[in-house]
Amino acid sequence: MVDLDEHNAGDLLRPLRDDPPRPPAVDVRRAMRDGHRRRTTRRAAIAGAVGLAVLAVAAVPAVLAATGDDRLAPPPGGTSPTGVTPAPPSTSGTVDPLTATPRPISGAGAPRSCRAEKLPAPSGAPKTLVTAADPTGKLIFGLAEYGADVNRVVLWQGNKLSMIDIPGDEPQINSVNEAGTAVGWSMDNGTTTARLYRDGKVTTLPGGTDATAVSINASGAIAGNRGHGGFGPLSHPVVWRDATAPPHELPLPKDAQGGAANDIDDDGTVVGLITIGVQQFPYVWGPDDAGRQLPLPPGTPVSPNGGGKPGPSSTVSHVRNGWAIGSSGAYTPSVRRTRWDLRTGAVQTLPDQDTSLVNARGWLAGTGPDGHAILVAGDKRIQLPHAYPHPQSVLPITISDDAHTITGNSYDQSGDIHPVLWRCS
Amino acid sequence: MGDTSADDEYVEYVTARLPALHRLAYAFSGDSHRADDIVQQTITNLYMRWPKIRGVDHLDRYVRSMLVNAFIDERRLAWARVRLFAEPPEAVTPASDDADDRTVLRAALSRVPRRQRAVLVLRFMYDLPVAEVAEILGVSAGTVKSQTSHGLTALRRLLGERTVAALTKER
Repeated sequence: MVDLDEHNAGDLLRPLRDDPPRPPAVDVRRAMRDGHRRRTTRRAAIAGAVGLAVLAVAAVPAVLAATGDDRLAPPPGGTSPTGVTPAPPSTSGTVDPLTATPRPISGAGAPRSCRAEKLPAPSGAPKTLVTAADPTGKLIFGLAEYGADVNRVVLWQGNKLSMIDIPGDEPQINSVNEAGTAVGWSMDNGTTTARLYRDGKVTTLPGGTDATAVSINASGAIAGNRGHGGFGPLSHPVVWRDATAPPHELPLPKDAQGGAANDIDDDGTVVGLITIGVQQFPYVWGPDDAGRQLPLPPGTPVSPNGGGKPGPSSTVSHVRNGWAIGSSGAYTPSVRRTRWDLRTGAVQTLPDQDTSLVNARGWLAGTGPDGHAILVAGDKRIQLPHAYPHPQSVLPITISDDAHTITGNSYDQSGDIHPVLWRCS
Repeated sequence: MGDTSADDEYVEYVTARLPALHRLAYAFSGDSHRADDIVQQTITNLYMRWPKIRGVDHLDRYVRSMLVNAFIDERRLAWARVRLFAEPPEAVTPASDDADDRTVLRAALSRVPRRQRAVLVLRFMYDLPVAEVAEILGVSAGTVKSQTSHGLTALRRLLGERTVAALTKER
């Protein structure tokens, strides 16, 4: 057994201390311009931040009150976990071959147009971003960054903004279900700790030390990762059947060193990746925990592990109603967005490089080649207007089951981040 | 923009340190574009605070600390793009098709969680003592030691025993 420890780690790593392949390409003038603007913004924000600290304390009872009301009631008209009813397969000729697969889902046709709204940000938080929304799009969680190390979780409900106090550093909410139960994590003295937010209260999940909770489904089952700080690819994927008992580990193939769960579907299917050497493969665990590797699209670069060359870095990042989306490929230029139909096993490379979200109907959201956010519903492709002019980039984060609500973030040239809501009809 | 002599000092300081900052950012990220982004973010933050910190002792150490934070923060800044893991794991660009040990090593290192990676780079590529790494990261020496141990375990598992044996010759 060869050990890698403090005595020989230098032998291993020192050879990497070589010069970058090219000289730095940074812009000192731009740094001064951006830095100057931030000095000014910051001065203006300091008064706001002081006011906010007071406001934040006052806001807590408001959140408690808000979560005690009908927000927690089941969504009207839906009793099944997804709130869906059977529909005739493929109602029109406008859907593409993959979405033509019969799906127990109903609803109106694809939206025709979308308008952008600015979600309100707390004063003094130049970086405020959306991080999660429930499948109906009514509850939206995010993050407000006040400085290098001061972040707070925010909740938008309607047009109301409230602050959520989560103990520890770097808190974030990563997922929320229709009932308003949300999961995420924060750092407790440097240790990642899985958290649950329900009824205005934050608790630590049982066995949630050194773990993240990444996704919660309609019945309250939670997928996460434990060990190695709770972040993939070497952590161990776990599932909490509910929030009252410790999680159980999802099985990994014998040759895998670790894996990651990224999302959980309403039937309990978990999607993520497994790590074998320096390669990562898309992986799915069924409701019975049985795991299987998903196929890579034809032509994905593959190389044998240990053959001296990193192989595919593929992952499944989201799942909804049997539709899974992720990426396949080895290196950045060759990585392709990929959609899997978990019911038929079909795998498809998506023509839009940057569609990273899928909803219950298999519709996609992402960023188009010209930098606008886009919704791709069957063969319909809708450009989402900018909420802020001339962004550096715009990235959708969630898409509702009916595609009527899409949330995302607009990154501006100075590094500020603004939360955006698109309403589509 | 601001006080002229302070600006001149800033430009002089930053220009002189750019190569070293870029090298460190490259050690963390393994990618020169991302290294540029990390350095750009660092020097923007530096300019923002320059009037207050231009005279501090150990300015270099302070700036290195800012750069490490920019690297660790990069996950959060790019977070919208990623949610968690949604983005393909960080790019590993081989120099050629016959990628060598170094490429495999970089690939493995790029999969080690960021804080652990920062500790490994500072301790074993830059040979900094535990106390200094702790100061740069703003954590306790105990945390540095535990992050070291987690990080090395991760590397060993990623590389496999044979590769570790081949790359760490008995001394």
